[in-house]
Amino acid sequence: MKKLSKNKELKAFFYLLPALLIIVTFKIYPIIKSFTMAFYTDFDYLSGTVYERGLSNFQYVLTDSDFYLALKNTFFFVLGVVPLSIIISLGFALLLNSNIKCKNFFRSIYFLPFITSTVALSTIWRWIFNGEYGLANYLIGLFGIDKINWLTNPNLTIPILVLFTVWKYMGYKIIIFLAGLQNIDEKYYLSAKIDGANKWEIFKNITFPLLSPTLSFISITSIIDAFKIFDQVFVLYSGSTGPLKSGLTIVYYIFNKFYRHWQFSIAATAAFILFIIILIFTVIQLKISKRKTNY
Amino acid sequence: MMKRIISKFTTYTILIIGALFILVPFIWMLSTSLKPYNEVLIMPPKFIPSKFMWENYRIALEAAPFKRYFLNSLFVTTMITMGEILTAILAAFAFSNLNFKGKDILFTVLMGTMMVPSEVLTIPNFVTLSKLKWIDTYKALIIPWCASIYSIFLLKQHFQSIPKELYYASKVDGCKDFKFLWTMIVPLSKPAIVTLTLLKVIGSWNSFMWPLIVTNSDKLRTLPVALSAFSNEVGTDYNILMAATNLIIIPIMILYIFLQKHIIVGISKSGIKG
Amino acid sequence: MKIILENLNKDFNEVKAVNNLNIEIKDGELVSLLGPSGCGKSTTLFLIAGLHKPTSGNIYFDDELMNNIEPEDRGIGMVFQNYALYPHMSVLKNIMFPLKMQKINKKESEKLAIEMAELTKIEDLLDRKPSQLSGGQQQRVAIARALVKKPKLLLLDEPLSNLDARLRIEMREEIKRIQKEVKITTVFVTHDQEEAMSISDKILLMKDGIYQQYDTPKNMYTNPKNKFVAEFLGNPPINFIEGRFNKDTKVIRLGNTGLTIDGKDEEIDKEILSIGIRPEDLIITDKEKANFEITIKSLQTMGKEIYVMGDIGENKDIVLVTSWDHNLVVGEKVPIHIRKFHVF
Repeated sequence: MKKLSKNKELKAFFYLLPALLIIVTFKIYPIIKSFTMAFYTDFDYLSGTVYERGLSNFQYVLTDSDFYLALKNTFFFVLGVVPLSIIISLGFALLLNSNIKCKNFFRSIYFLPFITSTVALSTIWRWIFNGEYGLANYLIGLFGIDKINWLTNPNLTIPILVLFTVWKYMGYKIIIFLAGLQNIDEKYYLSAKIDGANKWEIFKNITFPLLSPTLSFISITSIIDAFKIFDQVFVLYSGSTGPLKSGLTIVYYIFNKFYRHWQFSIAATAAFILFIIILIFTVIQLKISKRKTNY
Repeated sequence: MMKRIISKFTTYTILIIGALFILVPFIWMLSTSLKPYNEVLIMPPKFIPSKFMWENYRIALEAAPFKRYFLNSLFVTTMITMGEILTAILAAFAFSNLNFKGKDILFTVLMGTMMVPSEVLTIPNFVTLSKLKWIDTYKALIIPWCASIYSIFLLKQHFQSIPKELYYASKVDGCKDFKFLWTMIVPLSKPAIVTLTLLKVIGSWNSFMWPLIVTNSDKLRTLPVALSAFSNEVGTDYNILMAATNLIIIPIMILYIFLQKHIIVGISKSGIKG
Repeated sequence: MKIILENLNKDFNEVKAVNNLNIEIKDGELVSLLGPSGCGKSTTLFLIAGLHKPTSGNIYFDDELMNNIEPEDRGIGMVFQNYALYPHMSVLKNIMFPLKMQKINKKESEKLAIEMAELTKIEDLLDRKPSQLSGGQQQRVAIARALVKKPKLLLLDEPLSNLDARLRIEMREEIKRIQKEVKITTVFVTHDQEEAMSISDKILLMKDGIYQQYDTPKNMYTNPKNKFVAEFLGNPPINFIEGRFNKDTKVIRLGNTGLTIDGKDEEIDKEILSIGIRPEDLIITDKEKANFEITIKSLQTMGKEIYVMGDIGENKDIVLVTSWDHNLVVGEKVPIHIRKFHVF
């Protein structure tokens, strides 16, 4: 019997080995490492020798005006993109969920940007926002508005990123909302109709409360994703942080410190702070999703 | 009755406007990519080029070693997808069908690590890869992505839904675990595996920041990295740039056209990003 | 092949699913494991298959200790409650699967599979997928698959419980026929006493993981070792009446009714008894042969026979089975003769 149970562990180990090898090396070890790295104040990354540890990285990051700028930009982006994208996607999902022909056709179209490379899309949008010959200027020209230098005006950076992100992720959110809407039992609508509720009352009293698990899932994941914005900025602004650093986001800050300035521990510290921010929202999401199972 | 028609009409109008909002950038890309140079920089723009310049695609392909980049992307995507699905199938089987000590703890730890955003891991991983002398190699592009906790989790859920009796029956029929996995579980989990494969293909094909960081040399560039570099070099040849952009988009688009059902079902079930 | 279970125990956490079981199954016998749900019968079967490992005790096939042999190496065939047919394989592929695992070449295994399909009468269904089969057909495929590799032991886990009543009777005859035809040692798990009685050479009755009686159906019915065995077998169930035994007169008094029966042929060593009388052992008779009279309270016609519920006095009810010959009326008093009774 003893021998047999040993075999069991060994066997499971072989099945797990390939995955675990990679996960431990590139996921679990770096999690630990990035937290300790944030406390390295003087070290040689190649040899791995740490000469000094301390909190000075945190001091640096938390007094760095660039970091605050990155926080501010990211927060504005989050505040813009999350509500807007949820309202638009929910609206379209509700329209698609009514008795519509070609429902799948529309759904497929809305989903297109989501599966397409952010880099490719950003390249297209950069061309659309071209100050001289871009499509955007042509379109506003139709309404008699003068040409705008979209990509060099610092005040437009966040709105452009919001627009782009809403556009790209709208299809994904629509699909999740549709899945949520289809989970709501038809009989609730029917009984509400019999009770004489109009469309808006049905939405307010039936759809919205029953959709709240989906809604909270989308809200939190949107917030988390929005905090991690990077690719769009990098490509739209040709590898820069936009006019007057107006597109400097937290991940971009980490990327700069790490990749451009080789300040590894500073970057790790900023990443640590990003993790804390994301962790808070993850915990909130877990709390909410626990609560939703109660009814 | 009238009210109903109006409401239907409004609904379709909004849906069509939404579809145009989504499609116009793609159409704009396609139209630009086929324009002769002298029609690119004009106001008002022409949507249909006077002459379809398929040339542009050839020029784009030659302007930079896009063939090489395409093959790089193809190779890396294929390897990552195969690797990840393989490790996920094996690990998911251990979690779903085998009993071993510490199973629950291990699984909880793995699930816990999913909370950490991958951006946090980039720096230590870069250091690890430098130590392994893997920077600027295919290994760096591929191996770290050959295991995904999310995929393990998803497959485990699926494997567990297969009745235990099938496992017992096959054992009695003389089937060893490893064989059972490949002759029973994998064929029976085909939909889940197909979905996972597609999501992984899309994700790897489009991935940008990681290849940007771990490769320096030209010959290892994947398409997104190459396009990002190319877009800074190309100047005002937007027709060529759009042709190059389309080269990245087309393969995934073809995949999407044929297999969109799997992709959409997979996404709506799992609620993850591609 | 002979099977020996020796001091077999299986614990699931704190629960003793199988508690110190000792039995021997002879070569070629069909043995039923019978008992209410949760009695450990399926666990015992899974222990024999090797799908569960015993907490302690030994399992022998002939004289070979099997404890550490994996199920895939035990050379057994098994049919599961839900048949566990491989849903993505055709019937033929399902039946061929065990042979494929033994690396028998395709031609040979196809031949053997078709032979087996003929034995189980499913030769016309070979190209179908399991989802296109009826319950009874699935059942046959499962049996064919279990038997195709010519195992020395066939295990059946409640194989008939998912079938409707008529099919259940048909399939149990089939199982019996096939079993006799291939002369294979068979262990059959069921919770249905009628099924066990009709099909088995021997029955092992269990309760809460504990052995109750291991005997031929006839012996078990006619000589139950304890009250549980007596109660579990037979439909309608056996009647129990409390009795007091007078050692001097050798007379048993039934309850508070004042009725008595003669106990001089029984070996009795206690005063308070439980008297079990099967419904068919209560016979409506003439006044002079009668042990006592009952007042008929209700009649239930069951087709070929009638269940009579009657009061023997003091509100003690009993059930008896009789034929249509008697013209019985509710409220009528009927003289009854006890043909046979059991003392516990």
